[in-house]
Amino acid sequence: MFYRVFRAYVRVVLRVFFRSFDVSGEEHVPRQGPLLVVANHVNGLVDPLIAMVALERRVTLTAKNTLQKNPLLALLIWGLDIVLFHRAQDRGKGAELRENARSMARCQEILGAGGAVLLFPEGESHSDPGMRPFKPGAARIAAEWARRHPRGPALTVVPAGLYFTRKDRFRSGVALRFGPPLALASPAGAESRMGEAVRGVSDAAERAIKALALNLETEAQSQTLSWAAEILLARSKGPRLPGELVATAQDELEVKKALFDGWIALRAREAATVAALEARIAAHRERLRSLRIDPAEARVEYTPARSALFALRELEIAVVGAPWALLGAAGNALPYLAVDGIARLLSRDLDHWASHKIYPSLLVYPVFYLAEAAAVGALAGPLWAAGFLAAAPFAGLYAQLYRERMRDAARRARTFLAFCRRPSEKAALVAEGDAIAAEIERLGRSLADAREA
Amino acid sequence: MVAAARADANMLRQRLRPGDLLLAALLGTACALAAMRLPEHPELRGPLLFHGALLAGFLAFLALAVGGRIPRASELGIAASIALVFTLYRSLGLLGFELHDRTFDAALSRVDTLLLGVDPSLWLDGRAPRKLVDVLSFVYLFYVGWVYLSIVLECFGREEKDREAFLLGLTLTYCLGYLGYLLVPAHGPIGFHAQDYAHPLAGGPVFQTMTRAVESQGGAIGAFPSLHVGGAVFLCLFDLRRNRMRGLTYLPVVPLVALSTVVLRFHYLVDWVGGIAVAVFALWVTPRALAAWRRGTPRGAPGISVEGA
Repeated sequence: MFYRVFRAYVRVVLRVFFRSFDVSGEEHVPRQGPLLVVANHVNGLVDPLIAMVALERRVTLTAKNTLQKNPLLALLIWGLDIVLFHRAQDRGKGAELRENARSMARCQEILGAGGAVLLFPEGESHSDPGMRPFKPGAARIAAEWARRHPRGPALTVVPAGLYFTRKDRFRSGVALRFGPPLALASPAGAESRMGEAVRGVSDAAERAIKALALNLETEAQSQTLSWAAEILLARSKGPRLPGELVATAQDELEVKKALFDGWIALRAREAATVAALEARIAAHRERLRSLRIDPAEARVEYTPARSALFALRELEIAVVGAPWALLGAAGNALPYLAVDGIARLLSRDLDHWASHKIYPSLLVYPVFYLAEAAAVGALAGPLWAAGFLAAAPFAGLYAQLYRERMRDAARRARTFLAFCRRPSEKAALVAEGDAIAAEIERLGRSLADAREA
Repeated sequence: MVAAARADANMLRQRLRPGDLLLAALLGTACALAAMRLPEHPELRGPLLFHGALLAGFLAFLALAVGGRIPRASELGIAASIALVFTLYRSLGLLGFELHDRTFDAALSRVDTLLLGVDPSLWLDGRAPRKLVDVLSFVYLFYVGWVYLSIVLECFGREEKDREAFLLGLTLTYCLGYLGYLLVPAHGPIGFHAQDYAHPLAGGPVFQTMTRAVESQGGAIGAFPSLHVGGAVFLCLFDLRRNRMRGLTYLPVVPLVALSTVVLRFHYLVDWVGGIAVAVFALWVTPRALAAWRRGTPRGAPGISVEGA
């Protein structure tokens, strides 16, 4: 019961926190039977929440034992029946490696009852561009299951790749992709072959997750790929309504993965061409940045009729929406500032910022809503308090969407004015974006031809 | 022969909108009803001539469109449909009263009493504070401007596939509403309960302005279903699917519009139910009707977009 209520609540919170929340490959996840989900770990305590919301069946989460020190998290660990693992690096902080045998046995027990377990084989969350080496825990669970149940039921091991567009940003995007289940071989009973089996499962899981998520080499690569993806997506998706995303996290991930695969292959074959293209992308990006123009915005058709309709449409929302947005801002300012303060105070690295935002939000917002409703009730009566309580979450979300819409509308207006001042700039920017996209496509085609040959 | 008929049908599909046929059918129904009652009610001659002329004019316009002289997808074609929809608001409402010897206010009031145990309009008598009346009068007035603005934005500021769906859905909502006005004419509580209210509605300058605006249009015309509620629900739900921010912006406006119609004594509660039902039905049927309409249209043919369906 607690799990279902908590999952439903977290689903709402995550949908608000992430502007784009994309889940794909659900067809690979069986609804019944023992299931082990293994994923990359890039965003602290947010990763398990995303998997929990994305999976259509109950999943047992796993975590490091040191989280128990936080009394609120300890309560959550107890309520959700989270399995705790003791990590070697936490030895001085209360980790007892011997306890892991019990945790492993607990996982086998859950799987034996036909349940699902989620594990992050990297063992820790990080902000590296690539994945960290896998710890053997998850593979050991799978191999142990195969050894204990040679005649079935088979354990399904599903790899999952997590990708965040900007994990240090509220209203960013997340994509979770489930891959096809791994093919597992039974270690055939012999203890000496157990190690081999564990390595085999671990390697297979690592390969599968790398194929699903982004696994770069350096930060510089990440930036160049982001810019190239932005140019390609602006061209293929075109401009959107203000307040709407040009591309989802899933779109971005797919384009970046394709670009990265091609880039790795081409780097050796056509180093000079690739370097020239990188320089051209950087120059184009710098030009857009200096003009404060978004690549997709450069492609908007600014005819007088469209501009007039745009102004009318945005003015309508600005006027009609202003009362709700103000109400939402007023009702949600205190909890928003409180959560922001907590996140600033606690976050020392990128991969825990979102956790420090989302987990406090689960508690802070309801507490503030109740306190504010009590104040409204004391001032105006219970009916108004009930009205406030019902309207505050909607108005809060509305205020956020209103802010995004108005910001994007202002940006589009600014782009329009910039192009009015420099009419030739628009055509030049679009032409350069098209030329870069065409060059990327040409290189992609030549790579495909070479592979075919 | 069959091939030629099929080609003609395809050509008609390309050059006409399903909403056009709805409007023509509604006008035809109005004319038929007026013609049937004409021997007993000679005063129907005027409305019959008016709607007959409208029908003839609209059919002529459609004939020009079918002949390819006016592109129906153009701004002119859209403006003609919308202008006709709103012209009929008043004329068909009045025709409804002339077609029947009685109004259906008593029945609508009884349904409200059955639903709630009390007629909400009478229950609210003397209970609506002056400030609330003013705020709701503002909402009622504002709605008219809003609906016109929304239509302009939806029709001219949207991609063609959205525009087609919006036009058909809106036309269907209003046509069904007008059918209600024709078949179930009612003045609303403001007319029916005029003698039963112990207190006149009290409001400030906004209320006075709203009252004057309504009276200048000939007073309350039709009651069942409420097109204020039906139109608002249609606009809001349509945008919630296609332009979420606009839909969310209208979401709190819809209950306020609905509340204003009852507090200001223009509608019964059952009118809301009718209005919401009409809007939801229009939203449900529109994509299906458009898909069926387009199934017979050759792909890539000029006129209504097929690819965007």
